[in-house]
Amino acid sequence: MSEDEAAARLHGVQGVSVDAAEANAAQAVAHAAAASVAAAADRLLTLDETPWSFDTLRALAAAKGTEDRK
Amino acid sequence: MSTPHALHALGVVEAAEAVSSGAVSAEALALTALERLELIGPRFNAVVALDAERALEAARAVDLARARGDALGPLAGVPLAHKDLFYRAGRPCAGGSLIRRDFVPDVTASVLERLDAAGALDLGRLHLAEFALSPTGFNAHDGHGRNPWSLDHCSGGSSSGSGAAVAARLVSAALGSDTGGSIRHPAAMCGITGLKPTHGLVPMFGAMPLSPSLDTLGPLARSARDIARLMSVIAGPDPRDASTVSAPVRDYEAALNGDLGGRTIAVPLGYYRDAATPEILALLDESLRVLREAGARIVETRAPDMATLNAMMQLVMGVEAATLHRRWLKERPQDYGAQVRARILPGFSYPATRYAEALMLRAKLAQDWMAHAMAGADMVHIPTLAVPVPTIAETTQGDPADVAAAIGRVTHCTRAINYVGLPALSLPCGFTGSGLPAAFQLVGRPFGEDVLLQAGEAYQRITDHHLRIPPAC
Repeated sequence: MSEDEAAARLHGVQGVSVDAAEANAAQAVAHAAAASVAAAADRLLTLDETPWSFDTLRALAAAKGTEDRK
Repeated sequence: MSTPHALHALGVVEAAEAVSSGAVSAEALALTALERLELIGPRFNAVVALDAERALEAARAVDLARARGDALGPLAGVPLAHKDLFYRAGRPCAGGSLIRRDFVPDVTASVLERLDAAGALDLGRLHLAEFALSPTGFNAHDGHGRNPWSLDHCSGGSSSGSGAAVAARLVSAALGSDTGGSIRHPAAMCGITGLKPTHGLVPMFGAMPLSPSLDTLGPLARSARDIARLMSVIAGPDPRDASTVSAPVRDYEAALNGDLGGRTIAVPLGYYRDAATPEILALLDESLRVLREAGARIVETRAPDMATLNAMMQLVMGVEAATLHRRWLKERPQDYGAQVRARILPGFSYPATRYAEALMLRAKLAQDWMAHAMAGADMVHIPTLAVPVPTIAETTQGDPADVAAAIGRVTHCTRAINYVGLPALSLPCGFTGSGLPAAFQLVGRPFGEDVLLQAGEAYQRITDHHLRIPPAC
């Protein structure tokens, strides 16, 4: 995708106007982080283990902490 | 009534005790702090606006309550001021931005309500980075936050005014927010103590959001003991913030016994220490010696794959910030500083599946970080800032790649901690050759703030870095 296409796409999808250089810089940053997240998801994401697990982890930690201090 | 020679020298606990005992009036404390905020605050670009009339009225109410013999709150008469992102009904709250310059909220932040109820005085609004989006204290509209130890150096951000005002003894403590290090950076750079709590311990209601999955609110103060007093007031469930539903309520001061016997502190090799300069490493090692002297057992562990964690944090913050700012970026793009735009714009380019993956993997990666870095210990010891405090010029001028690298070094040790949601206490541990403070952070288990504060307070019983005051203050 050219820089101009990246800016046009951002405007088309999000309604935000940026110049070509800004769009290109943003895409480069996003591409690198997204690739790293995708690679981790390929390795680690499972159907049953992951949904809502952070909230559950936090609740378990809070409950355990309360129990430990009794 | 006798009056201490230097009222501004009183920390949170000292000020509350002085007011409760009648050694000093809340009004005298408020007047002293207001005068210093007005006279000294501008040197560091620390103050946005004072709220003198309301604060003095609150102070007189505390004094009257004492005169009547009423029971006083745990923060009675303590002079505070906060980063300008906490809403108070009827008072402007700009969030460091041009766009919200005239915004007047009709609600008050839960944390401010709790501080009010405890008798604390809210003296006004302090400087912050635009929309809380700079780790150095940069603000294109309001000017850069400046460090009380050296005006040419960064104050740290985004809670820049909070860090500078506490370090310069303008107020006893201040609240900040931390999405990727925004409490810990100014605490470290200004030589004070700062706590980023577990995500979901302190209610976010009425605080301007940046990235709700990562945002936390917490105190910056002179000592771990002062932070314990503040946390006992502001932490705990709030029906207006669902993320706090499971948050436990604790008496954080009760844990402060100075004895770290039986506590284990992990020092992860690799990512964190590899980034530290030799003089920072020497200060870190000295802080470990002190913690060992206080009774802690020190063990070596290894940091896990941090590139993945940093990418997760960057993606979650990018998407959530872009979501919150999209309408304004559409309608008023010219009202954003270039550095802030550059940080938000990538958030529009991530596929929705990547965002969902980053959130769904969060618990697994948090457990993985604890398994590797903590490995059964009670807490982890890492630098807050692995390099000396940068100058403002280093983070704003010159080759954009160099500027980006300098800013990246500031968040190197902090940003992933928000993604894994753990508590982190930043403690000053000395000074580098440039005369600027250095700091380490203790990272704990979820809701393990009491353990961190116990360790921090034990450390500060032996050291005096937290008692140092910038020469010009």
